[in-house]
Amino acid sequence: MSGSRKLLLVLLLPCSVMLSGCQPVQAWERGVLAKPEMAIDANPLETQLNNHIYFSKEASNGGHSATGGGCGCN
Amino acid sequence: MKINQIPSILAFLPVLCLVLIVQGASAAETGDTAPAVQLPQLQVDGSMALADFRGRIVYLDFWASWCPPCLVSMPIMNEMRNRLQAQGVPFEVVAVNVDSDPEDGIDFLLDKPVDFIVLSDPEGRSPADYKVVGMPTSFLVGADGVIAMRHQGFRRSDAQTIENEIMKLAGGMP
Amino acid sequence: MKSRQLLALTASALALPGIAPAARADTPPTENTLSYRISRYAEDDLPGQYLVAGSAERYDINIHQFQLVTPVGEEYGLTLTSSYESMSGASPWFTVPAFGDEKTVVMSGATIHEQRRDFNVALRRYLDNGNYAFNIGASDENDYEAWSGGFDMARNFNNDLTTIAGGVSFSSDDLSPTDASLFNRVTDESKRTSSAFMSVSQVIDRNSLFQSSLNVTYHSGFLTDPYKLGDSRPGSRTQIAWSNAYRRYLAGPDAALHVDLRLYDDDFGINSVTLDLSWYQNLGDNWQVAPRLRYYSQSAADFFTPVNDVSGLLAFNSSDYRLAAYGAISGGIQVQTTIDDVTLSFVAERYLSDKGYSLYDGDTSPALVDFTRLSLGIGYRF
Repeated sequence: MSGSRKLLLVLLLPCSVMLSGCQPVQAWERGVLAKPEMAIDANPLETQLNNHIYFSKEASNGGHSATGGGCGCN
Repeated sequence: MKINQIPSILAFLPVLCLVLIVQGASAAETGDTAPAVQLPQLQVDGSMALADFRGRIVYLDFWASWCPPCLVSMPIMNEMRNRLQAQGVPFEVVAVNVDSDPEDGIDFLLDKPVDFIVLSDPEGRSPADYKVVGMPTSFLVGADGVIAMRHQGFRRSDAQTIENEIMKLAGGMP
Repeated sequence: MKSRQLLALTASALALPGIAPAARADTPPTENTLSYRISRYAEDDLPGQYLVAGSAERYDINIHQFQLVTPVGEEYGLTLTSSYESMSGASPWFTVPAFGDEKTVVMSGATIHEQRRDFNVALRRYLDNGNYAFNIGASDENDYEAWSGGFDMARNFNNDLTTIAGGVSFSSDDLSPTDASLFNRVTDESKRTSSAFMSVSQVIDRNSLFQSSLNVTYHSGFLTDPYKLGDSRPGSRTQIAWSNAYRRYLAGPDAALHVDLRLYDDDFGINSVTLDLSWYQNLGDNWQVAPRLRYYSQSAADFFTPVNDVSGLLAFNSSDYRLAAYGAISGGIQVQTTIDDVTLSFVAERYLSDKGYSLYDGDTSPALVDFTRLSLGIGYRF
């Protein structure tokens, strides 16, 4: 199996998890998701420094965009 | 892995997940009779109903302590309510707190108290009746109990729009 | 003498700011937040048995970070970030064979002192169903200058339960190594970096969410380390990272579990795996303690050699330990307390790398780094 085929399969995995596991969460039920510790990036300055150090000392690069989650407020 | 295969994978990712998209049911709209609300008060004993305010223009506001724009609206609506009442406009604000732990709502109001009535609905029955899809959502209910305006989100500049609508409703009253 | 290693601890290329995050995805800031952090990063000395020449003292770095997040009008949020670093120490210069299979390291001679400054400005506009941002940044040290810029956007779907985001960023770096004539180094080189990402976030239930993102980065230009003897690398590099984040809140202990897994591949021949676990434990209303465990392992670059190639026959060659096969384990703890509008935080981290921790076979380096990092931070909302 080619590398990209494998990658595709791994990409499928989280989506299928989402499809099967998702429950509708109403707008007023997002208090927990809005907690600061539930953010993808709970402490941006800490993440920035960590990425900075790991980027300098390791060969890998590339991470999350920290959007998503939050309170669903308008 | 071939680099040139990446764009197709990138395109695939959202398509897959878009399958999830299901739009919410239709909302309680302008012109509909406002669904009944009967709830305990958040800070004091006793319950209140929306029907108790029949004959007055009511700003019904669904809010939570974890929603930043909700918190922006509270002092602004408190000031508007007090000012309009002083002018003799038959207007009231009824805020429904939907924090799953009502203590969180109480804590916020201890810090920034308001003069209007705050009800507690941790189970979320009333926002479900009103088909709320975003926080905050507010409804301007006329003296006749009919929804005159539905408003989602809150920015400071929204206050003028809301006040204009209230004055329009008040102008049409006997 | 100054070492390139040092420069590498800069955000120059890293600070591709398209990937710099919004504090919260869906609403503009409603108040100002001013934050300051001071950190000390200290590498362990190189063990004596590996040192042939030079200073065993590796880098010590003090880092100051500043950030202001402020609303602009009703739809915009402005984030200003700046940092200042002062570094001292020595770094691996090249690696030579010793007895048997052993390799030893020649370190740069004297301790050097160096400063780096950077700043970044990001302006994000918040719409009813998403947001977008532009940002621009610069990094400056005496032999390295970088400019970067980026754009990213996010859109919410499915009653805001699904967010799709994407972005691009660019960076232009100019190198002018010191002591160029003395050590026969390049005098003026540059490199360009472009990066794109796409991510999907999904709320799973009231207490959990998941995010998956794909990141592709392309570098071209002078990618060689001018401060390492005999270092020669290809003129382009493509990196692909696939990152996954899972967040789950547990009401019983009043804690949030963070699981992050990244798989990485590039055309230098390096693969890597990163697993990051954190547990944010709330203690009462005002305290939070978050232990953290991270595992990282990478394979060696195709052109990595444990000792420098002196034959001159290899087109590309490097003995940089960062291109070696190894594994790293780090553990840390963050303690945070909030008093009214002020948040105080403390972070400690210990990082150990070793060939023995590696998931991958292949050559390793005697110059792998271990370090300790401490941070103190204060944040003020107003």
